[in-house]
Amino acid sequence: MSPEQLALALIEMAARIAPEVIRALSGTDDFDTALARARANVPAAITRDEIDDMVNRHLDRVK
Amino acid sequence: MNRFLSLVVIAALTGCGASALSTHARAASVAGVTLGTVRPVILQHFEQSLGGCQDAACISRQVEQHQAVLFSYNASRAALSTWVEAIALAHAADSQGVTTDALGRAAAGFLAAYVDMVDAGHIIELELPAVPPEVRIIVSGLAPRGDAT
Repeated sequence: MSPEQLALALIEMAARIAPEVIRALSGTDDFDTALARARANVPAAITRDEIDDMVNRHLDRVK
Repeated sequence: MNRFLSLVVIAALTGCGASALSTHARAASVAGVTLGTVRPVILQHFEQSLGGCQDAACISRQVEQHQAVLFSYNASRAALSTWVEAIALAHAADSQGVTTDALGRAAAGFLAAYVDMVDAGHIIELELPAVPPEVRIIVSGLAPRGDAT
């Protein structure tokens, strides 16, 4: 996959929902800044605790 | 954003002086924004599904039905993190020419996990931003498991 193909894929995917894409791509960053932004944009995992909290709350509700 | 604008953005990404590693870093950033937007959508869908339940059996069913999409979200997130750190490693090793293909595969790994997540969402009537069909074909040829279509 070339960088161009990769960029097209991700942009088309992201553009459907995220206007922030434009900001993420505003492209005069140097490599270090772009890498720092990429790291910062990795979202949090969905944890077992989050799931359990939601499930337990609803289990309490239906008791 | 239409395709034309996408192409304009790509031109900005890959234009004069932009290295492949920087392009990967920016593309990974877009991937992160996308995945970060998907996260609350998945959790909200899960919450709403649980909210429609009136008994514990229904809640158990919802947990089971959402497991695939929850798992593939985390798999996508892990693949994205791997891709980003591979970019950093390639830069640190100053081996851009050697590792560009490997980075492409890391990116394809993310996309394959993302495709799995979108497909898992369909099963529970959760519509997530889809990967264009032509990209699925590309990914299927690059993803480590080769089953992204």
